[in-house]
Amino acid sequence: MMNDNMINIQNVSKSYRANDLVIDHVSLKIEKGEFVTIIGPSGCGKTTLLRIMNRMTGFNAGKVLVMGRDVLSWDPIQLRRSIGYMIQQGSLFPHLTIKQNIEFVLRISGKSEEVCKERIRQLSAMMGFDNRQLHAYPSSLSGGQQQRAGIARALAMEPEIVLMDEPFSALDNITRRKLQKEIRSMHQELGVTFVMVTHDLQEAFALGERAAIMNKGKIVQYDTPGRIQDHPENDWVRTFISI
Amino acid sequence: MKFFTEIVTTFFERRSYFYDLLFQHIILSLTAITIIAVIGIGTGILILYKPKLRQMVLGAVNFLYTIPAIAMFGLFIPLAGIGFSNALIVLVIYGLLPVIRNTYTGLHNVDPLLLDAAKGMGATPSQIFFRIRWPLGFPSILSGLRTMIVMTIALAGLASFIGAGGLGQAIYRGINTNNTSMILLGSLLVALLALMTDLMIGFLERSIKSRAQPLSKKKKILRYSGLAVFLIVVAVIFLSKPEKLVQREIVVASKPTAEQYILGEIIARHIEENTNISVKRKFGMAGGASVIHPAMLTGGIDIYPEYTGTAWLYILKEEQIDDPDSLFNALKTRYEEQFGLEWICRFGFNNTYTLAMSESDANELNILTYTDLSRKSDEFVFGAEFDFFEREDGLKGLQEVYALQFKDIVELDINLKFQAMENRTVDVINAFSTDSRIRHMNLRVLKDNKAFFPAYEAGIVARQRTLDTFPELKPLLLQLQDLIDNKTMIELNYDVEINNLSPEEVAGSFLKKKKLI
Repeated sequence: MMNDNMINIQNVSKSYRANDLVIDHVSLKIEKGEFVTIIGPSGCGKTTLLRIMNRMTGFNAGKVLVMGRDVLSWDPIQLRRSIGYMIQQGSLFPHLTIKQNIEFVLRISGKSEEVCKERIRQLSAMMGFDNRQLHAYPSSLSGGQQQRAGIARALAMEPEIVLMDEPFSALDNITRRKLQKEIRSMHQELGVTFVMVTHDLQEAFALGERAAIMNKGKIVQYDTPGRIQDHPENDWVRTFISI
Repeated sequence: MKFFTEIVTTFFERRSYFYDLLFQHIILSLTAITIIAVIGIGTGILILYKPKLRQMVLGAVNFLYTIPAIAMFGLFIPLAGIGFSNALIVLVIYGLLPVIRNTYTGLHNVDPLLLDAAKGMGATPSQIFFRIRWPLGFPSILSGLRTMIVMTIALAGLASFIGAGGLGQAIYRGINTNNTSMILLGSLLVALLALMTDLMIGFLERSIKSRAQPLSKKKKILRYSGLAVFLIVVAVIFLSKPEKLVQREIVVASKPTAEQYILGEIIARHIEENTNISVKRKFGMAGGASVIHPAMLTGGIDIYPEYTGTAWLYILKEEQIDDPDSLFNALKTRYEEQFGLEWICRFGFNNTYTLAMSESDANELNILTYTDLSRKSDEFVFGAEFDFFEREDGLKGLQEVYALQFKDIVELDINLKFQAMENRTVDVINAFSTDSRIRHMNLRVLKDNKAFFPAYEAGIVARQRTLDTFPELKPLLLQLQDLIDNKTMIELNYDVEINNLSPEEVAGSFLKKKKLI
């Protein structure tokens, strides 16, 4: 059933130059409310695959369905507004306060003042922001707080899907573990579908209900962390996960 | 301390003159600044999105920036004439570089991750520009604007070179009339204007930055009232201009010598006091005849004092006529037929070239004439202004007739010649026969024993069309005929150059003495 899949990628290929496929006939189904991580060595195409989901990158062949709808039939702006998006270090806008950063997403979509206020209230309660932090500029907050703000911003529009590209890569280990825990409980609470690209195996297996292991533009194995560890698809996967 | 009081007195005595110049300076720079800001920022944004244009635009602007400002003012005379529009064009060309470059750099250097984040969240291209690129690039744009504004205000000081007025006029006039406090006042006012403007922008910059943080009510009121005062001043300056333009107006110009300032002022004042025509003064035009004459033809200038020799030899490029009266008649005819300009009358004195050296040198070596000088000329350094080396009736011709071979030749600004003489940088200079400093410095004027130098009688040249429009002008100006002989002119020059009276005072008291005003 197509509609059970939040994201359904069918035989998609993408190349910048002829005979050089960045994404090589990839198919991937992500169910509603699932937490999927995509992992692989650098240059394997994991970020490109993620960006194909909200049309930040185009593709040459195949089909991408998001919430059951062909992405090519959506206005890309509307598509992106209905999907949460978070990239490295949260990428907060340095000239806006935390509050304004969150408002940004709501404002560009034309949300009213009241809606903004209400969402900010809910999100800061969820993230544990006090008034001072809300009115602070990103540079005056710790790395962990910045990431929390980034997550809040990605959730502002109450999306059903959140795409994340290496969101915690710049954090120290302790903060990172803490945020991983937080995001896992957030996922369970909200029931939102999460897709996260990471290069950290521990993170991919700790967070992902399923993990997609990529190499050279292909998904080599897509399964639960337990089964991947117990039954690696081939020698390459075995070596990759045993690092 | 004495010097300081002198400056203060000069300012208060000529307050209205300085206010006028300040006003012109502000109008010119403000207009230029506004145009530059609009074009510069617009171009900066354009080349951000059109990479093909980028190299071309930046290259062209860079190239223009390397041309010396003085040359640029000169280059635009054939196109834009003299005065306001020419100055405006040059100021705009110079100001563009920092604004375009900083706008482009500021907008371009925004972290691509931020742009990606905004796009990924569903921002439209215009939302990305106005909410991300612009605010993040703005500090760089603002610093470009700041550089440009200070630069433009300073550069506008050169605008008087082509008759666009402004505080540069005071500086130039100070140099020309040997008045140090005038030079200093002009420079100080330019610096002050630039500084004040810079402070004002700094102030605006801070209030923009702190907009995000809540301000106390008191501070807010202070900020906004400051801004309001600034805007009101700007508005008053702009709005008060047009009424001046609707009046009947003629333009009187002069070259940058004390004598020409005095003659120009005599003409201007005489017209102002005895008609209802208002007079705009474009005095001290550094380019001299080569700038004023073209402007007479195009109508930028209506009347100016000229010398018969300059007109005949330099402007018409004709062969010398020795008899002054035949020369004047020939000039009258040629000017009328060829240019539509009229030589109205002559003032009555002859300010021809002559060579001068110190009385003691001349006495020691027994030099009385140019021929005497030519025998000893290899012992002397000769100094003259740039003009003198170029023109037919200058050094070239002189050397042919007298076989002068100087030890060295120094090009000097016309106003620094006597100082160079005093410092003994030069031993022999060319000088005008009505120059007050010849007497003041005890120089010997040598005799032109082969009558090389032609007559340079001062007269009044006016546009035919102007005389037709204002029929009362010609009879009025004819009253000035034969009113000033060589001795009188030297006295008038002496009052300005040595006694440091202003040309206005000197011209005014002269006209009063002659019962013309």
